[in-house]
Amino acid sequence: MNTQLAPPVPSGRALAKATAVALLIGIGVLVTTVLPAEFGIDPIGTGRALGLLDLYASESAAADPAVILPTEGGPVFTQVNPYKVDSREFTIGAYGTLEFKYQLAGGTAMLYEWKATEPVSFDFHTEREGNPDASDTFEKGEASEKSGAYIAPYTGIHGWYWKNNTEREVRITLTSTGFYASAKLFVDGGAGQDVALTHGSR
Amino acid sequence: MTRRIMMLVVAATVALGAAQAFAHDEYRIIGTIVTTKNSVLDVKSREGKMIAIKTNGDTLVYRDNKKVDAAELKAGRYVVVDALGDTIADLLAVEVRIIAALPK
Repeated sequence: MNTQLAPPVPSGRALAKATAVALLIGIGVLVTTVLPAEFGIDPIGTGRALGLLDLYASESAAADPAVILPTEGGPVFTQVNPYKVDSREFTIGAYGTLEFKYQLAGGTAMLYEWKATEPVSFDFHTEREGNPDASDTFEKGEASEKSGAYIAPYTGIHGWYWKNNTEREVRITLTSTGFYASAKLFVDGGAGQDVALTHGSR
Repeated sequence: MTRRIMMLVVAATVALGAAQAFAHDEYRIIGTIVTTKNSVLDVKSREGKMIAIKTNGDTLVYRDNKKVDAAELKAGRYVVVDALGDTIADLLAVEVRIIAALPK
């Protein structure tokens, strides 16, 4: 015959006492450590004494990252105006010439790529605003395609002069994106005419 | 002495900068040689305009993509002239291509 002893059942008074003690301990931990460390509240000074307020401060800093502004001459330079995209195809007749330039403010950027059906002479150059006779050539040669990035050193029009040195028509496709405002086309040395950008703002 | 060299360097730098910043315009003229005299080509353009273009020892002359002597520039020949100048009335030929026929 097995006899099992039932565990002693605490009285209601003992349970109430244990609950009260646990509640007091919980409140003590909350007030002395949790409030200072988590919320920066330090009612009795234990947060400062135990260094828990520093913990709260470092957590707050991590949650609120510092603002970093681009430095002048650094790799990031923000622009106020939206960038634009332009793509077009030109046909240059036998021994013809064509010039196409974008209006860029000083310090603004452009990415570009052009491809020709045959090698052409090209001259990437500028015309400074207010003094079109002041011009700088930055790249010149003969090629059937080119791509690159460009940051305008000053305000003006910036682009390419292409020469077809063959007796056949040459087609050139140009794709670019940048912070340009407008574009200008010159055919066979004629006066420049404003042309609409193909995709406008993005 | 050092000061003189410095002044020369500064003057040369300014002159080079000015030359670069105020480069001549580039012109391409397609037409027929009417006369060649005293290192000047008189070319009648496709548009019918007479244009006088100077040549010098640096002017390159090509025919069939090969360099040829400047003596090949004769009246009646069709040419494509790349020239530099401030205006079309003051041009110096950089390259002259002799071509078989005028493009239409």
